Amino acid sequence: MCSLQSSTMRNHAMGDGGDKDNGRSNSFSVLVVDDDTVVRMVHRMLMTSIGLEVQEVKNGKEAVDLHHAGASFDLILMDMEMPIMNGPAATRELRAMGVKSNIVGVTSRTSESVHKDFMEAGLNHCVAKPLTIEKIDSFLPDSNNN
Amino acid sequence: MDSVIQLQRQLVDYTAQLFNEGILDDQFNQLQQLQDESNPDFVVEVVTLFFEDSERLLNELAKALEQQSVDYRKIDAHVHQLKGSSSSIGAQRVQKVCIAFRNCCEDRNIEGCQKCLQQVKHEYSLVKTKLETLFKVRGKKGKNKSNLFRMNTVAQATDFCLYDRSLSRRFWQQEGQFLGQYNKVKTIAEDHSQRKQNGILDM
Repeated sequence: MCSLQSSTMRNHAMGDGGDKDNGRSNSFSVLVVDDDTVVRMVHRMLMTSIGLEVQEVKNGKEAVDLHHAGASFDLILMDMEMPIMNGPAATRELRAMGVKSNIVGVTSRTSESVHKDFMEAGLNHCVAKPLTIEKIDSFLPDSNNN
Repeated sequence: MDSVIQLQRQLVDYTAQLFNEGILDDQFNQLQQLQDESNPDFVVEVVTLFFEDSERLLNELAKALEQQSVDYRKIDAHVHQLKGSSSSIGAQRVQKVCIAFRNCCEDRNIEGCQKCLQQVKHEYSLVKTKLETLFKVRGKKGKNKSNLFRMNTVAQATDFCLYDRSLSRRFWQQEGQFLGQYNKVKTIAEDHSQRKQNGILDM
């Protein structure tokens, strides 16, 4: 199941929530983990357009290091194939560290068995690239869909 | 006012053609939707990034295929990246060739790979030319650049009323089905053009 369990982690510091049309006062923090610059830019834009705060890293190891340093996020968008540390490995690490955030795998691999294996690393959800507003709707809680 | 409408119409028609030919897909549409006043150059920036990224990858691929002993894993990694970034901006035909390319890598088929490289180069230069033209036409309008992109889709469909970004966004988000919406919007825009052509509309 992909319910977000992060209300205590929610970051209220984002100033331009008023710029968005949905009037939400809370703002989620999202970590985008992907080795491709174009993909990171698009995912960042998608997330900020719906009022979420975004940080980016280039591979799984950087994601893990961020968490070791004490950072936490409501949502982690995890690419599968990355150098140094890939998505499944990073997901396993994060879960082993006790990270309870919603981790969504985003991969350009479309085969079901690939998604299944990735899910087993500890994902809440797995979607195929490209990420779209519609897909995001499928793993965000209902309160964000207004 | 008329020349502005003409330009907007041209832009809509040109963009529609790109979608019909499968050069761009719904993902590009979505990028246009995301562009707003606080990020007025988003589409140009991300596409420029895609061009830089792709050119680098294509060079690497050409080099890799020229090696005495071909490293298929390396080639596969590059193609994977190209596939990912092309799908992120909606360059559908580039993405499709990448899929075939990866299969050739798996089969360690050198001739297949070389053929795929030629194909992907062709598709890439096609989408690059088309997008550069699109941006040039857009640039002619000067200010309100972001509005021009937005008008390609929702605004055209509703008699240019939806200049209001937040309204158009809410419209899209509620529906949630971009492709369905695009086709619907396109039909309405076509109807709009038809009515204008028939002299029913007066702008």
